[in-house]
Amino acid sequence: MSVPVLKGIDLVIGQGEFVAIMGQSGSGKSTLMNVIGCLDDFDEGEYRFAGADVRRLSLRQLSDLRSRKIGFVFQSFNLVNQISALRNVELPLIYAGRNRQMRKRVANAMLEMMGLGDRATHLPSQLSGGQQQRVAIARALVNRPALIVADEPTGSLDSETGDSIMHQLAKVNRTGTTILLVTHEQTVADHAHRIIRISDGVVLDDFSRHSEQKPAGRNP
Amino acid sequence: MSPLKRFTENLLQALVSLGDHRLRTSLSILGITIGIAAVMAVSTVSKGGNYIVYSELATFGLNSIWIYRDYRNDSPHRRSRAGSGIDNRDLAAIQGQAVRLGVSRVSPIVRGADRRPTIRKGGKFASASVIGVDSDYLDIVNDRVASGRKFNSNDLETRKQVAVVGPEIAQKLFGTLNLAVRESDTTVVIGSHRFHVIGILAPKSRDFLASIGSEGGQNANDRILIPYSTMQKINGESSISHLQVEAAEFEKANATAKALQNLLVSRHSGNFAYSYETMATHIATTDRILGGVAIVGIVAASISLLVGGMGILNMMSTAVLERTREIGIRKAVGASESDIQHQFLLEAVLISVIGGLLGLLIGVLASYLLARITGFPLIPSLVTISGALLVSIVVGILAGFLPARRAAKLHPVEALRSV
Ligand SMILES: Nc1ncnc2c1ncn2[C@@H]1O[C@H](COP(=O)(O)OP(=O)(O)O)[C@@H](O)[C@H]1O
Ligand SMILES: [Mg+2]
Repeated sequence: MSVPVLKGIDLVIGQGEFVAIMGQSGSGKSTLMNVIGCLDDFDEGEYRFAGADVRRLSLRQLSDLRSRKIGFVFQSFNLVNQISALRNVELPLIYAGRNRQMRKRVANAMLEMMGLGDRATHLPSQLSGGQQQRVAIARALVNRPALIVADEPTGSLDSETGDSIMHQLAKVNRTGTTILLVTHEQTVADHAHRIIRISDGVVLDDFSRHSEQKPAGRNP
Repeated sequence: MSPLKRFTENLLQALVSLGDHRLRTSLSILGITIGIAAVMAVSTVSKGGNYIVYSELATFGLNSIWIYRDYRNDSPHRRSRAGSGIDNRDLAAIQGQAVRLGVSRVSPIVRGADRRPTIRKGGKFASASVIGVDSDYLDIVNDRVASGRKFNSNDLETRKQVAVVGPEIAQKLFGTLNLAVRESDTTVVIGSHRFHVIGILAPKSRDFLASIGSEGGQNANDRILIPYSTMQKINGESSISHLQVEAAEFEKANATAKALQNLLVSRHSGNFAYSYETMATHIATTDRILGGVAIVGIVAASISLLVGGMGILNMMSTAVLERTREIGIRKAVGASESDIQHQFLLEAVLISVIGGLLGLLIGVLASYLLARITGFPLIPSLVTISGALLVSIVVGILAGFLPARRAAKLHPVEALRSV
């Protein structure tokens, strides 16, 4: 039996936006994020990413898109446990086909930026939750993606650590990267410039807090 | 990214994962090691068996043809004649057209009235099969004179009473394998005739043939050879019991035998029928038997390789289940289906190739050792070695394919949802 999770969602997210999606548990936030992140497929409707009709892309093109244009941050960090922080950050570079020297350099720089320069060789299990999430953010950023999709990135962290993670994301956004964030905490959502509330797969409301942001950009 | 680079990357990922499950990986490697080593062992043992059989067959001469009168197939329209159907003129005729017939050597075999006469030397007795032969005979059957000399043309022409004896006889009568210097010490009595022993044959092994009950396995070392002309003098007639011929080419041995048969039939105006046997025919039969035995052995050993492959299949299936989430993560950060498939396939192939190399190492070392101990040429050929490697790669691919495919096809969102 198939039950539609998202119904009649019509969104345009512009480049460089910082959007928070809020809603109750089970309202379809993660599903929406996965669709936007080109990780999940959908039965009906249309989704264009940077002008490309996602449904017309091959699996190969989709994985290419994920490695070069999109970075994921998850509530549960989702690091590969068997390999070091550095190797984790390198993964998107590997799949994007970057050469080894470049990979090492960029991945190290990214960890440095996240304040984890001295933890590169640590395994995820040797890092705290906040550190793991920063590794995950480093990994999401390492290919300089156009879009960061963060599904409750602070959900597993205490509020202080969560706050520092949000500051990191805000900083990333200021460099022009679009950020799409799921949360059900208002304090977290307050970092964003635009908040979309959804319930039961439909958009309840959508408003921008900063008039200088133009939510009506053409496409993500 | 170039395919080679992509391969290297996936190989590294595979190595990391294998290193992470050392025990499981080593057990799977061991399975293949045992399988490949077993296949190598069987092939080495069968090689050893072949070597024994062939070296024993070579003691009859691999190119040998035996041609003799076939009493059963005499023409039914004529009265059966007495005699062996072969005489010295036939021998000369064959020697005269040896090249046309494809004959490189020919020796008459002349038997005495008593095939195993008693041999006496002082108070010592022995019994041996005695045949009269030409000097070429020793070369045809790869006999070597270990001490003393062979027959020369003078021995044959003057019908000298000289003998070349097998090592067993020499041991029994002289108590040594070295020919004594004084001629009087080498005089023996064969039946009722005095002979000088001029040579002692090197020992020959036909133990294997004897052990399987082959008639040819008998009398390897208790033979006595004398000039055929001398035997004819003793027999009082110039008939030849049969001819032993060495074909110039192994492949044409049967054609040569057929030509000899025709020649003899026509030389005797169809009065006699002749049969022949060739070593080539025996070897063809032997090859079929040995080949069959080898295949049975290889199949049996391959079962252990199959079990090794199952080990990999099992390990990879488990790995895919356990690492579902990891696969989801990799896909989320950009791994394509083929990246995942390659990674898992490479893990399987790595296991089987490492196992194969170890098995090969064990197999090669063992055959070197065995070769040193037995003196047999048992070193595996490059074909065997590369074959074993190829087989282990194929086993890895077969065992890894389905699990790798399952991993590659996992839906990223569902994979990420797994614990
Ligand atoms: N694997 C699944 N099978 C069936 N239904 C699912 C599955 N995953 C999620 N859903 C349903 O999809 C809806 C939206 O889920 P989700 O997007 O995870 O919500 P949220 O992230 O907002 O909590 C929920 O009603 C949930 O029951
Ligand atoms: Mg969710």
